[in-house]
Amino acid sequence: MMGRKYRNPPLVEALCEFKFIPNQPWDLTLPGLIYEKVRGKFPDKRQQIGIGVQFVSTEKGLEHKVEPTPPRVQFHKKDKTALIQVAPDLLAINQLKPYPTWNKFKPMILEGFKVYKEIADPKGFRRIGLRYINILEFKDEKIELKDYFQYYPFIPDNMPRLHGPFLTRVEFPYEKRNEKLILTLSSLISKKPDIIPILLDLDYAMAEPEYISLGQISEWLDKAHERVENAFEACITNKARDIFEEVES
Amino acid sequence: MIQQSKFSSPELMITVGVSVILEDIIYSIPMRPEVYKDRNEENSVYRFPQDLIDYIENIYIFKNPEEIKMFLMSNDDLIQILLDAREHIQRVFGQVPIYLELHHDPEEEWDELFIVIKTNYSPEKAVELENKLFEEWFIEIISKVSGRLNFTEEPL
Repeated sequence: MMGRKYRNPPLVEALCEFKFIPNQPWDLTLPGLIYEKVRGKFPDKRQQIGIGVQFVSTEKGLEHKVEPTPPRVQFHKKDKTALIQVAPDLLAINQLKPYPTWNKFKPMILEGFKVYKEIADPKGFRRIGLRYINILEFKDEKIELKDYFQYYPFIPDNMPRLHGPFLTRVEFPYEKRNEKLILTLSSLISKKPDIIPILLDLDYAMAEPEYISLGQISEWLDKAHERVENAFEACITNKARDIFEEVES
Repeated sequence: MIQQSKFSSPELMITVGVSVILEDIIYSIPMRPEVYKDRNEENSVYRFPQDLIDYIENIYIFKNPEEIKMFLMSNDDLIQILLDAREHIQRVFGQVPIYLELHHDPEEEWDELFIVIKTNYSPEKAVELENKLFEEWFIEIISKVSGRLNFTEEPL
């Protein structure tokens, strides 16, 4: 994925999500103004319907709730490898395959952020997340998670050895709980039969509003990237590295 | 050990937040994970269709959930059509249970997703409403779905 280099990295998407505290109510002309600034590199404009996913606490426990959210505008690169998403008080910069290294992704994030800041003039950050989404696809009928991951659900001895879909999610607090690393390992809906896709999702987030200022974003990104990179390497085994085919740097 | 999923549904997934037993981890306060307060939109292009499919599972009753989800992942242009379909169906048929069923023909390697609208209407009335739905909605999308999506009415 990052520090170590792989010939077949499992990374399918890297994204940086900014949620802002606004200085003024959202103006519907802002996405158009942002587009004018980025259309050179991101010319393909699309609108995506908004679906917000929430987990809400009910009498029965945590329930998955999905609600419509305001539509967002996407500006894609011509080759569809990257995009910028803009919605009310939200900016996301997404890099799809192939991932071009942090040294190229970070400037793309900062460029998108600079344009948004100039045009929308936000008061501060409500949340920032740097997220790396990895998918490992196995053609086997069954696999042992611990062969490939150092982080996986622990199944007690008196439970069946074989299990189906799963989801594990852990948050690790950083910076006196103002930041956190959210680690998710789960099964996914497969596009093809006879494939077991496993998701390893690493999201480093500043969760305390305005914990850092708008001017501190570059340093924050480097720190977040380093923590995601370390977590990724900590979560996988050498058997997984063999699949990714490590390249000597 | 995880095996390929055939019959189970993600509904049976281990409940978030209580499923993981981690050895030697200090979890200071047994509280609800904070993430759910601030991650309420999916900004990942890769994950977004999966969330929409989860949402569609709240609208429709999936007869063979794993197969339907896999079919929708491979035919993701149908996701938006299914999201819109409910409104059209309810306008014509009212609040009725709506099922999704995936029909296969292995010899022809043919798959078609059926929206099955369950009602208590008389056969005559049901046919009338089916025709109305066809004229008001399905005729607009029939060229896009090209034999991959259809609808029918069945008695409850």
